[in-house]
Amino acid sequence: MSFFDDASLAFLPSGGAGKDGKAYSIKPTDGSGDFTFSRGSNLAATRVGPTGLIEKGRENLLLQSNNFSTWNIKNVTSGHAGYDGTNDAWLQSGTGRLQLTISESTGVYTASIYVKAGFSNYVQFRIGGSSTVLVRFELIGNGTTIVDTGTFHTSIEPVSGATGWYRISISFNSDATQFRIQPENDSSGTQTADSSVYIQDAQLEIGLAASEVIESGATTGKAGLLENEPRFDYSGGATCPSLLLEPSRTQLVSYSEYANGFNIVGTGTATDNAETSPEGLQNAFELNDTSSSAYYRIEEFISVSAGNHTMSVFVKKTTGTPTHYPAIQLDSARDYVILNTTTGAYNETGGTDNDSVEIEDWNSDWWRVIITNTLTSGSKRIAIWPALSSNGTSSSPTPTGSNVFYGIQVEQASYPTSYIPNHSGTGSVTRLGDVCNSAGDSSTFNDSEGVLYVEIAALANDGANRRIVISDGTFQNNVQLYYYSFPNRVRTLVNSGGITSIDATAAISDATIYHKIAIRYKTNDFSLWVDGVQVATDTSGNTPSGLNQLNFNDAGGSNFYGKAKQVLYFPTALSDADCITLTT
Amino acid sequence: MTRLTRKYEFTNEAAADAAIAALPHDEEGNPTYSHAIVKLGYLTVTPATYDDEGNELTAAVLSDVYAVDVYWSGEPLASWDQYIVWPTPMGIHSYGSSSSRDEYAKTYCGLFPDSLYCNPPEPEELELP
Repeated sequence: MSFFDDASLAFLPSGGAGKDGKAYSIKPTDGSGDFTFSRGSNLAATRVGPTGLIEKGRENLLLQSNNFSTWNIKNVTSGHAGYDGTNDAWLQSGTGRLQLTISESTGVYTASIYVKAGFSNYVQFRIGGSSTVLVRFELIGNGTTIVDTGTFHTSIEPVSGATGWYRISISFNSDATQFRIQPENDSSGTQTADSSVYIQDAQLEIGLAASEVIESGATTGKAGLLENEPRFDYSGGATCPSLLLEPSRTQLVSYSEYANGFNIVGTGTATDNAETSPEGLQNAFELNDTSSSAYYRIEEFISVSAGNHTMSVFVKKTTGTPTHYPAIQLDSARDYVILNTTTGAYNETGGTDNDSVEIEDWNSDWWRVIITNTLTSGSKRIAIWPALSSNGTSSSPTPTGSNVFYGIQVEQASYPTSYIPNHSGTGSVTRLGDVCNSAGDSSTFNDSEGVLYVEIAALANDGANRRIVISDGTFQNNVQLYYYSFPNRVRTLVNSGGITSIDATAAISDATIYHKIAIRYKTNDFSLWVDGVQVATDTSGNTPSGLNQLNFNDAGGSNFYGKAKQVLYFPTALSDADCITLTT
Repeated sequence: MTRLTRKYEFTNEAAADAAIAALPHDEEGNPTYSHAIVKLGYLTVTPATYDDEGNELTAAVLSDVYAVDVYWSGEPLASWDQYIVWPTPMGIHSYGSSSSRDEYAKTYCGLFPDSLYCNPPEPEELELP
């Protein structure tokens, strides 16, 4: 006998199963135990993937990204040997250009395409719009950008194992109405009838760096997290993922990765695409204070409503004793948070105390600095200094030097959630709440007896109701496990025909770390188990009827916002020994 | 399921709250709808200005109407039509959804086919040196 054999429903994120609109249970296998999942946001959602890197929702905004015969202006032939071992490359020839008409609003984008010299050793890459972006690349040796107008970053990278092929990319902050590329014979841009260049896999995506190729057809290509895809999250170096369920949050910072989109004050440099970020792409930015007589910072004024706000930003770790210390601030009336980038220690100075500060040890390369303050409504400054302090405790204009940052976020809430990218430059963006429900049916659950077991952690110990519920779809009949308004306590509730059979609570050490919890129900025999201990019993009461669904909420409300590693349901009342084993 | 972003303006926050409260709720006051609502508030028309220390020099000018975005699950409620507005689909709050963004832009251009957004000018033909 094993617990898996005895369970009628088993949901284990380590099984890694989900798709757009579904979170699969590994048992039953006929699909009746699968959760219906929705969020509605792809581009605003991220998770930490199995590699430990932040994974985003991605989109290739170009249509027919490797079907150039459909583009508006072209002189192409297909069937040429490509960079990837296929014969999917194209040859663009002659004095014209290859062009696709597009329509993208102002924001930060990266355009990319694979190219190889044909007759021509040069290629012009252009994005048309109200600000024209024009770059000429030389396709010789390791490749060179020889002319650059209108970008904030260009890249030409030889493709390993594909001689002569390069991936060229240009990053810009503009609108975009044309995607163009043309062969050129020399550094002056000469074109002749012989001009030609091989091309493959064009891409235009939101953000500062080219990501893995997403081929598109009649609709844009999408990859990474999809709009209604559950997020199996590996935060904190986890080897087994958890299902991440977060509330809706609005990212108020309009350029979350693009330093040169901020107000820049003082003397120094802001270099976008300076280093590899927690995303694994070269899209972290570096700020360098170059004046020993003035402060240097980037800042943005954001409009906020009254209430709790949490700012978070990734800061790259250093080694050795720092010669200068960066600082982060949420609201100019509040303390600067001065960070020791080597140890993660911090000091606060210069204003009213922050409500809370946390330095999260994100991974071996990055800290995530988290500041929470209660703000009054109005316009508030957020700011980052690369070198605010020379001793780690007090501010001074004297220190100079650089530090590296990524992913600035402000959300109206008392605790941070996963990173929400925003590249719009003016608008905010909302990642919608995760909704996961409707697993199982009447054949899955036993009205007479059973055990609901979960291994869960809350996102915050903030008094919010976070419920996991088996029910008949109403409030009248259900089996509930949840965190509630009392800090660090778990609660169980079983209702039968609207009458409560057990209502018990138990203290836990910390609701935000994982606990193994089970509720066993049977007529006149109810018990709650937490981390291997029976913590509550009730010897009278009836069992619910009509149980037919398992939800991460209670009839649509009190969503369980947290992380779940395991959810199992047993249609029998397990023994005490089994409940101990299960929850240990 | 069809999910649509629509944008609304109310005379003030109380009017917005009243419209939101009229959406269905259970007996405990929890919403029973799955629409996502973001109260954007009085949007900034003219940003404030500040000195180098971050002190405000001139106050921001805010809109005199209260903005609310709704990500409807299904068709938008007809009772909200009286508050609907159609800002140009650029630089505005979004729900980070590709499909919703595309739908809004397509609907906008259907309603305002002659707008500049839907008829961008040809880019200037600059030549590289």
